[in-house]
Amino acid sequence: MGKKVLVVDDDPDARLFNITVVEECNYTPLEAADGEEGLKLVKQEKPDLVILDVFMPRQTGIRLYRELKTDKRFKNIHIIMLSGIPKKTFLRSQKALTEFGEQEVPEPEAYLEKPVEPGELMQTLKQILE
Amino acid sequence: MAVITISRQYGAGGKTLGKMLAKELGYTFVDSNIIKMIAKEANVSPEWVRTVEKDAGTRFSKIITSMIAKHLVDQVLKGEKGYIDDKIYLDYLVLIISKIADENNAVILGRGSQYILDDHPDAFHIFLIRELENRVKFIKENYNLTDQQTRQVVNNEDKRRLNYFSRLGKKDFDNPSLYHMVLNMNYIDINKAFQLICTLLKD
Repeated sequence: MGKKVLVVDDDPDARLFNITVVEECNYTPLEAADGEEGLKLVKQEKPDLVILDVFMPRQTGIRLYRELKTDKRFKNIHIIMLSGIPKKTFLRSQKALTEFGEQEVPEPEAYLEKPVEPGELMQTLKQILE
Repeated sequence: MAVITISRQYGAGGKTLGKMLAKELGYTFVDSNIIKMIAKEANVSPEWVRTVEKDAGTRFSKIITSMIAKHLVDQVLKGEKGYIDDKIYLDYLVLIISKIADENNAVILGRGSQYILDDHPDAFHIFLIRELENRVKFIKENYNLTDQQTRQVVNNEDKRRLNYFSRLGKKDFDNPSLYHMVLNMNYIDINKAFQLICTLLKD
């Protein structure tokens, strides 16, 4: 087991699917059920990559994404957004938050829309981490 | 295929017009039902979302948010499985409005939708204005309130909106350049406004 990949998704089935793919790639999986728990794990475990859902209770994927992209401590952590929300909708919401006074953040390195094929997720993980 | 945002001074007839347009065009009307959508996603009660929305950005809510740790909030609100504050409310709001717009065929009333969708290719942004006295008259007639009650409601709502937009860092919501069409409801009635917007959509 090599690099650490944190899976943040409120859907247990989605977490299981993502973790299985992460293990298939020989990375070490970590899991969190919401953004708040995800941020705690990021601080504790310093993962190499986060696979992040958008709609989650307690703290949204949007909030965690913005935390990771605006905090220098986390600048080396890669992010794959994996959501049922289309990419253009996600990007519009980011732009709106910036317009409402929040710090501008870059687009995610990878944005995959659910349902994703295991091969596509595997390929994206490897492209970013290797 | 379009999404219409309606911004308005309280009592200018935005809700009535929005409902008329949605019915005529077969669009979804998005008003306070967005509260339920946010509550569902955040896994909290609609009442909690309503409170956050009402108090968003006020000094009181900022103090409370900064003072109370989430686990203490959890203990107080044992029935709630999720959590929501100003920031999380805004996250859901921009996401849900963006999602509704991308799915198209909706009339969205207020909540900063003219800013969230400012460059949406299918969006038409409408702003309704009306003199205070006429707004009081409209509310009085439509909501069966006394003159004093109506004035209080209109004043409170005007203040709340200013505060809401101030929270979003926006004080120019009455700037005509934000909108495709600004309708002065002192001079035209709801039916004429409805016709003008339908013409705009057809063109």
